[in-house]
Amino acid sequence: MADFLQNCLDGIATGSAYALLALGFTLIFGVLRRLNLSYGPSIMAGVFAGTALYTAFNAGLAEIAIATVIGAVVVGAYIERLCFWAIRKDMAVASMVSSFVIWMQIEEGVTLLFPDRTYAFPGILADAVVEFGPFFLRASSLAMLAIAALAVLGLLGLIYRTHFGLAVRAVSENPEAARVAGVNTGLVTLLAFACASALGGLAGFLIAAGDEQITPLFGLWATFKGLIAMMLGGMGSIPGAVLGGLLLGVVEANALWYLGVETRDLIAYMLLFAVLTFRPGGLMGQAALMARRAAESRV
Amino acid sequence: MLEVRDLSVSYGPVQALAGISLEVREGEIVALIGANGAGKSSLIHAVAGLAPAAGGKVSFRGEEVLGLPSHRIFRRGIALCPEGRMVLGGLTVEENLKLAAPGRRSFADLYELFPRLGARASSRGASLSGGEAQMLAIARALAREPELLLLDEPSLGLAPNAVQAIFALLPQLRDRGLTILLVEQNLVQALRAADRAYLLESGRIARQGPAEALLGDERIVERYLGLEQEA
Ligand SMILES: Nc1ncnc2c1ncn2[C@@H]1O[C@H](COP(=O)(O)OP(=O)(O)OP(=O)(O)O)[C@@H](O)[C@H]1O
Ligand SMILES: [Mg+2]
Repeated sequence: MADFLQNCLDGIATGSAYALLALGFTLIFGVLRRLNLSYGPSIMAGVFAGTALYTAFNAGLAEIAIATVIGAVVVGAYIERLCFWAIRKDMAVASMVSSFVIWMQIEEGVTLLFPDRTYAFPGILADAVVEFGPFFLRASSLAMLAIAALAVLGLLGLIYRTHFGLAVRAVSENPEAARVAGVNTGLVTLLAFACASALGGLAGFLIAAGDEQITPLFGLWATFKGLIAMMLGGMGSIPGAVLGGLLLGVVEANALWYLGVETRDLIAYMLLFAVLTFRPGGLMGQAALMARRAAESRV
Repeated sequence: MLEVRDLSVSYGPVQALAGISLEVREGEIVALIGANGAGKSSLIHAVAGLAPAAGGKVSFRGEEVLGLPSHRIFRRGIALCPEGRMVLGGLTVEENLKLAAPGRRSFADLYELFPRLGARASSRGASLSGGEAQMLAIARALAREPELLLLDEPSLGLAPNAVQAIFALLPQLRDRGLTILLVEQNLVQALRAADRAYLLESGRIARQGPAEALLGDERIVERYLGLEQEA
């Protein structure tokens, strides 16, 4: 039991970073109704911008974090212009495939600039451990949890308390109706994309700082974790993204402890399969889906 | 106030409007009538920047607006209340209004005009009745205090008393200084409410003139009332 609780604690810390990735996916999917497979690679490019600053100038953590976020936002904007803005709304498959092509481009580009397999990344409070009675958490995990929680709260505030958030919710529900209400849908979409990239950049920074290293494969990893967490929680649901991220983290931590590293990912996929079998909209997506249908049929 | 010259609109190979010219003067209510598919909504959407205009000119207060993005046209003072209402079902009534009028804190004047909306300010758009949703669509168009209101089939699908409420509203809006371009299937009522009217037939203006003159023309009234009954 103590092991299980300890695993849950570790899982929630990792899961908080997954939640950030899932939120980024959700924002993009919400405003565009299209999948951006290159989301992970754009984050990876940002993390490499941070690494470059670290290895070349031995920059401080704050500067590295900022460089990571800016790098992810710039590459994200590049993807948005090329794969989404330039491709018509009704050609969702073309957008998704081109986002896959851009993925390859980003990965090749980074590999050319950074030819080694792994690069060092600075840790946050690397070796410290914080104890809570019988349980403990690495200080870096605790920092990850705290920063991710702040970012989630900040995003919720942005989406539910500001005019920009109102416009994002409107565009997510019905872009044409949003346009009728005077919303600049192109700008809202670009800014939502930038927010998603910034969240992703932050998640990338936290994860790389936890691992104290980074490889170009991080892009693939981040796309997978973000997608799985989003689908667990429910496509397009913001609370669902948070729940999906935390659940994925907890399940993975327990699978790792009880079954070993080989089966960890297998268990995560089986969990996703089970959830989608019994609740095709994801854990919280069903409600969003039904509300959307109801809205469309009545109005 | 609004001047449309030789406007044409095409959706791919389908030409919806073939060189339309019309004018709306300040303080007028102008009715745009015509059968289903005549191109009424296309015209209104092109003016609002929401339809692909293939050619022509649209000037508002002497300035060209054709080709501007819809949000810029909206800011210049042209608001659209679209056919089918397009209320955002996931947002509350008040959020729908806020969306159209960033920075505005109070919608008391709109709630005074539409007391039903005031009572349901925090209900979701999806939970409104047809008549309430239509009121919200009009209120949303008014939220930014436009000068020209493009009103597309406001009475569509409403119960008779809700239709009466909508038509009773038009003179009130005019008294508030609003100019209105009204598209309606409800021919007789629309012509009674309007000062002038244009009759649109397959993408062209077939008749135009003072509303009474068109209302007095039995051929028009019979023909379109007949069409309405068949539909
Ligand atoms: N988005 C679109 N894509 C393709 N064709 C369209 C589109 N919108 C309208 N059309 C076509 O343009 C023509 C005019 O349509 P429009 O909606 O302007 O007519 P309307 O006069 O408003 O009709 P109604 O009274 O039914 O609302 C029709 O032939 C219609 O099929
Ligand atoms: Mg129409």
